Amino acid sequence: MPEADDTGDILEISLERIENLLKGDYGISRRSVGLLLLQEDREIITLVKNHEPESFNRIKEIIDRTKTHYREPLSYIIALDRQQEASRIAGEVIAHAPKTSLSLKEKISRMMINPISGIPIMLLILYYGIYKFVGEFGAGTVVDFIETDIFEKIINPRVTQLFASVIPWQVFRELFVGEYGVITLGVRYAVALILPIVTTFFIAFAVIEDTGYLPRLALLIDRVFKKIGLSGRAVIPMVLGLGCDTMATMVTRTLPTIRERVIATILLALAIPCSAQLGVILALLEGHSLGLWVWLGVVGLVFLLVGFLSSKILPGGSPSFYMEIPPLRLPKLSNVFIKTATRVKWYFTEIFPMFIFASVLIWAGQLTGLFGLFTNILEYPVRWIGLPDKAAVAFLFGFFRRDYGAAGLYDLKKAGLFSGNQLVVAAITLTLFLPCIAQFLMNVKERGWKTGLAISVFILFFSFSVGFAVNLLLNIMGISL
Amino acid sequence: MQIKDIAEILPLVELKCGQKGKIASVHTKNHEALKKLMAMGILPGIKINLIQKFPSYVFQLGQSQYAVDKELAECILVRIST
Amino acid sequence: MSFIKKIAIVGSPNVGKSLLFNRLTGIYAVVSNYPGTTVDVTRGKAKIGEEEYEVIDTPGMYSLLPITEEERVARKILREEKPSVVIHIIDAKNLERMLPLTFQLIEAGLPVVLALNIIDEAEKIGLAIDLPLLEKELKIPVAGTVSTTGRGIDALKGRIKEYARSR
Repeated sequence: MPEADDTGDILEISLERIENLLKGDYGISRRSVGLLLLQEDREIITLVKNHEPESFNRIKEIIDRTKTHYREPLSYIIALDRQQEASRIAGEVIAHAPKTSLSLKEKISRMMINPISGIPIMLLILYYGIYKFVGEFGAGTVVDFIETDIFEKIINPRVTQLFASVIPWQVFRELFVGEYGVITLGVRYAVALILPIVTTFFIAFAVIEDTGYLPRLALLIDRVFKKIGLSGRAVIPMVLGLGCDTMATMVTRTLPTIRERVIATILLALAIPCSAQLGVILALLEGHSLGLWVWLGVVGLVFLLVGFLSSKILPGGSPSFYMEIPPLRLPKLSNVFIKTATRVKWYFTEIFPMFIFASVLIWAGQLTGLFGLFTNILEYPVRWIGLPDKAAVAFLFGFFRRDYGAAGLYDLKKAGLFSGNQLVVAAITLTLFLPCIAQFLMNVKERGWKTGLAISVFILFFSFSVGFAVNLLLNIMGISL
Repeated sequence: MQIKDIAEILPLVELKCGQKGKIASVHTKNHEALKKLMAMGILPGIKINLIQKFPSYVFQLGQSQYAVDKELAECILVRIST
Repeated sequence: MSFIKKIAIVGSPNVGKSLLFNRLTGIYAVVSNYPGTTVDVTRGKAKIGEEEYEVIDTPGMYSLLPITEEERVARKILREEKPSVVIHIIDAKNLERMLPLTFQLIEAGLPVVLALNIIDEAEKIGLAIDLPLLEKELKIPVAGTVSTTGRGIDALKGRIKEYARSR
């Protein structure tokens, strides 16, 4: 390949000498290994150190000596060489007749990345994609239909009747069809509440993703994200987090540094509500548009503040942002469908057992009285943030799944147990509250036990403190929402 | 890299939107930054066209577009074509 | 231990890697338009000619000198799984900037076949690429493909078949 030319002589001689010293099998040519060594590839250096302990020092000497001959890093010299060769070949094989006028797609793209038109476009996409489609259509229309018309009218009465005739023991009947029964609560929440919300979110996300909008959003938001120790790149896990924080935590792997991954994990666990939770919270605050703004403002502020503080506390430099901006494309229906199906399937295999498990735990907890004990303990912080004691149950549910907890609040709201202020405080606290079991496990898996646990403990205290502060502020200022 | 005519070489951050040129050199002490730029194919001789400067630097490189932050954009020196 | 031959698909994100994988294997993997979303490695089976292959869709890579975790994973696959064929898939429009990775793969002694993908878009913007000349320059098989429509995939398979036999 690009052989040594003017700059190459010293490099080429060094490379040959290194090649002659290499004896091991690296799966790639010795020339390639030599070049990677000269470019100071850490993985290859370690590999060679282990494979060739006797000649490693001599190799290192050659590398160091070669470096002194060049002002730029050797990787730059090597890349330059290759690029010259690539440009030469490209010049020979490509006949060029490019068009000059901007295509419509390019014009739209330019509008998306210009902040003056880009920010309104972003807000429109969020409003129609998330609020209207996921919030109103998914969490409203579809949920109502499945919950009222299918579960309450058809499934619940029949299943209750069936179990009443099959299982004579009240205790075991409760397990399946009681207030927190596996079917009446677990399956109902999963199918009637969560499934429609998550599915509509993943449809919206797949459409947004397939158009190529996300990289444009990333470049638009990079400067803000820099303030919280992230780069524009982190916008992908953050937006995905609005669908499922667990899945998004997994995707933080694509962020280049551990520091960014930790900050993103904290923010996902704390301040990014997942679609299931978001849907229920939107329903919870329905008709309280001022309350919705307060909720959005407080959660947004927490997001920025905690991000900013983490970026100050965690060691490491600020990340750099670089990203390819692919051309805009019209999303293909089949692609959107398959992606959505795959993700919903992943989501359900991951969370459905958790719902059932939670129902069983709650049942067992009630039977043994543990549930009551925990509820009693939780009543203190719940009272502390100005909520009725009954809300403690919803927070206990929140341990199992955040949306489960939010759904519990929703039931309390329907029963008319909340004032406007209490609704907002409850929504804020629960949004920030502990990650669900699945997300906690993912945090531990991706970040390790120590970080995973530390994040949870921090969030437990922090969420109630914010709830307390908001409640206090509203009371002091005499605001009732 | 020989700099023949100082006047026509500018860092990317000083170009105006829509200005075109060829990359003259990539100038940074930060090896990590250099690696990133190289990975994107930002190397001398490639045609570049600045599209936007705020909030991020967006430019066309050959047939694709890239966005970088100010710190990386400062590393890229461009020979302006007239 | 079975001795099924392997095909590794490598290339930078956003050039249609996953779609090519689907075209070859008929198994669906989640296709992402987004740089860097394909963290996991997808595998599938493909029959090309009489031979059955395991096809590996490697995470996106720009260079053999890795910066990201994905690139490290992709390189590991190339080094450790001894693929019989490595398909380097590139965006035909960006030949000039993507050739350096082709060079690095050839340099590494890997059995590279170059797929110039999205060649329809290149044609649309007025680029004509002389494939036989490119083949002569690189001394490896080259095929022009459009993985979204399937154009050129049979030709690519033909090149793989010839190549696998000759080695």
